[in-house]
Amino acid sequence: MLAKRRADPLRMAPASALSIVKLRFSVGLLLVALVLSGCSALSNNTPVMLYLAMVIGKDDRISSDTQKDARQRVDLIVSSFQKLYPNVQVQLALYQRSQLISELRRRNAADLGPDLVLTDAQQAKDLLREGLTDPLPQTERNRVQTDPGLLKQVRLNDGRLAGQPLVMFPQIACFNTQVIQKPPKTLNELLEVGAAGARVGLPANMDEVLWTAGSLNALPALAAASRNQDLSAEDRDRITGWLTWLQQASNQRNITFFENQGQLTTLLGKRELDWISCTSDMLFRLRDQLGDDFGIAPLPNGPEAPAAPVHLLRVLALGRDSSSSQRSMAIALSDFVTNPLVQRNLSLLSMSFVPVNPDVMIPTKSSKTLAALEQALESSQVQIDNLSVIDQDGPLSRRMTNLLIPLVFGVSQPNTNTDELIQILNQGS
Amino acid sequence: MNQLFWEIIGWLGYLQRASIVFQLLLIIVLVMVWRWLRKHPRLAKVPKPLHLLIAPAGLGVISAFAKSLGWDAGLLTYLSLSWLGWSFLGLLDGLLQELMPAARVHELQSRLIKPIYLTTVVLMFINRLDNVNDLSVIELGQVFGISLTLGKLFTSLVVSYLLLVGTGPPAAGVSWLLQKLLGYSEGSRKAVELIIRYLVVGIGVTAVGFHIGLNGTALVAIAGGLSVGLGFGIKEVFSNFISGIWLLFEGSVRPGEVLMVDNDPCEVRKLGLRATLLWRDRDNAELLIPNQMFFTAQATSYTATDRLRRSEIRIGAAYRHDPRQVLQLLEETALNVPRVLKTPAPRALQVKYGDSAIEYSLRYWIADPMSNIGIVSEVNQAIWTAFKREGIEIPFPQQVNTIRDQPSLMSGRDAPEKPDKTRR
Repeated sequence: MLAKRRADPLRMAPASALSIVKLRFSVGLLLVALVLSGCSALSNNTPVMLYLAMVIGKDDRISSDTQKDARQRVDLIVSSFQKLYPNVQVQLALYQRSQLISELRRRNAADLGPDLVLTDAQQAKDLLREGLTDPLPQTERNRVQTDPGLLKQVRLNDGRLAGQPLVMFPQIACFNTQVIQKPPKTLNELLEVGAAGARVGLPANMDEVLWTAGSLNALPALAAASRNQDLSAEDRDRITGWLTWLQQASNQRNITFFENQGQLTTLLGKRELDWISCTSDMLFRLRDQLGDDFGIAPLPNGPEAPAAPVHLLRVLALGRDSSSSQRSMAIALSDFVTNPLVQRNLSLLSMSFVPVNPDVMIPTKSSKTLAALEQALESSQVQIDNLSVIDQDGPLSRRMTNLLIPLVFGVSQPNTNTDELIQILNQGS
Repeated sequence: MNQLFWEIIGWLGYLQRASIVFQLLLIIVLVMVWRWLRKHPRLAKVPKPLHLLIAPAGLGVISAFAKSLGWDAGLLTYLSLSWLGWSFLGLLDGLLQELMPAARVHELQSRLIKPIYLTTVVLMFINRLDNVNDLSVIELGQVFGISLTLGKLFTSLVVSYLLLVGTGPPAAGVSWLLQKLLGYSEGSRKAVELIIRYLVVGIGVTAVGFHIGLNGTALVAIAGGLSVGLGFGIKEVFSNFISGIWLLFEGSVRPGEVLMVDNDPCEVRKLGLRATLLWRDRDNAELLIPNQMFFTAQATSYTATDRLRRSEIRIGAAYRHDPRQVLQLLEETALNVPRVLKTPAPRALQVKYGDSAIEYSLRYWIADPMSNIGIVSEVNQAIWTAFKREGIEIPFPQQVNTIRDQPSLMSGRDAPEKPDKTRR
């Protein structure tokens, strides 16, 4: 009897183990069946989640403020798009520009890459070259609804489109109207504003301070050097003159050079600076921080030439890992954003960018902000050919920045720097 | 908080991708197959290091094969690498055990290495679904008027955990160094180690508070909350904590000290935040006693000023032996027991004339209070041997019984006169 009693649990153990295995197997089968039935039930009304990777302002740090700012901007587009496709949701992930490529490599390696990437034109081309994004299908609609000049900026040499131009953020002057009632229209006026006590901030980054080369008429010489053309003595003098102006400006008590425009924006927002050069993608945040004291204006021109603002062209690139429904919605969204009505409404709502659709007229009379943006855009059209040949994002640009930093701190001299700058530019041809 | 919830729900959208669903199903199937396979008797014979690597390596091979076919297998690769890393942690166990005791290795693995590895793997996975830096700035709410972000909360929790768990080895190192320099006792070394840990944790927690952004007002609010809490629920906890710190500084209850608890010598193993852990040699039991008990109740210590303990054995010898010979023999015997200290010298005393024997007391000193029972046994054995050798008797209790006549129950006047037997 005792032996029998002892044997009972032993006999129960394999039976219970078997039932657990059967249970697990059944649960597994049920899961597979659910997934398969789910796949077959997909229809047009199935919710579609689009993952959007977005680059925040150049060299900016991700913070609660930048996140709020970016979400506001994306919501402007998505809320309109959801009127057409209510089943679409967009999940946003913000990245620093310098980290986007490495992060996308990691995400793509796990097949978890985003469906859309919102970045600047230069980086969109780099992403496509590296195979981190897919080319945008060329449709009649994007040909008609996008400025041909802008489409050219996002096209690779082999003809593939790196992304859909979305908006243009012009480079402008941002200032505190409580300190500066009348914004400086020329470089001399800028120096006077500084001398009068206003705190002026300028970037030491080559592509962000290049606008001053336009005002001082040194841009044609820089462009010629980039094209590897022979420079006349006058061209050299103009480059030296530009570098000298930068150094002399830095010597002014109230004019300070900072690493990049991101820092300038932060300091203006905290009212620690009164006048800076900025791109209009920062207007949302600055408006929030400065309220009615916030003002914008075109960048100051020079005695002989207009400023050469470097605009930020935002494009939507297609991710690599999308499902068919995600891909079709991503393309639909990229088509949607160039729609004239959408571009106009977005421009009016955000008051921070210029549309990329050539058919959209900017209502400059009703808004000083839009008028300033339009004016900044017009002045750059004069310099666009010269600007397009100068490296603004690659290793040459970084080398030129490294040259400018000791110059503005008075460590190197403009004459010496002119030769070195020309040498660097020559390598870009 | 709402935003974070929707972000997490949004990750389910990756299941719209057929390649992700396929890889997840494949992983589930492979894990189930492995769970079934590993019970196979042949696999059970495979050496442990190899056994640990079979499944992740197999998953890696499958993902490489899938990639060679042009299929998406990134998720498979990621999981196989993570699994491989986890298996290597299992192999690390053996290597670490050559450097430190098994218990310490287990503690290190379970409290530090494995949690860090798992957190890293999870964070890296989330970084593939989203951007961790972006998620970290999501605002969870307001705490004492300060906006608390997910990143701040996470780093605060991680730093606090590392402070509590990871400060042990550095604190032990510093206290060891101080012991070498200043030459204090082992108990003091352990006390210094604890004090250093409390200091580092205290400073660290304050730093975490400042990292979150707590200011003076917030600290006042916390202090107010604590004072209310002290009045109600956490009074005992706080009392034990303060008692523990006080006892540490006082030095009366430090790790290594020997205290008498219920007439048993117990060694203090650990002075915790709430309770003290003592070890009782008699039955190898570990006693957890709230710190305030030592603070409020009387305690007997054998190690307060020194670690010497005086022990005593009582023994009887027959009346026929000369007490001077017995006393000398007892003292000599005690001196010959190795664990009995020579100085102070053992002392034998004649304490009582008993019913069966003359009683003697042998008093001697030992260096380790916890070994008393063992040494008593050794001394007793030595006495028995010495008495046998010298022919000294340890008498059994002896009693001489004399039978007397039953006295008359009647009084002498009433009773009939009877002749006295003894007289006859």
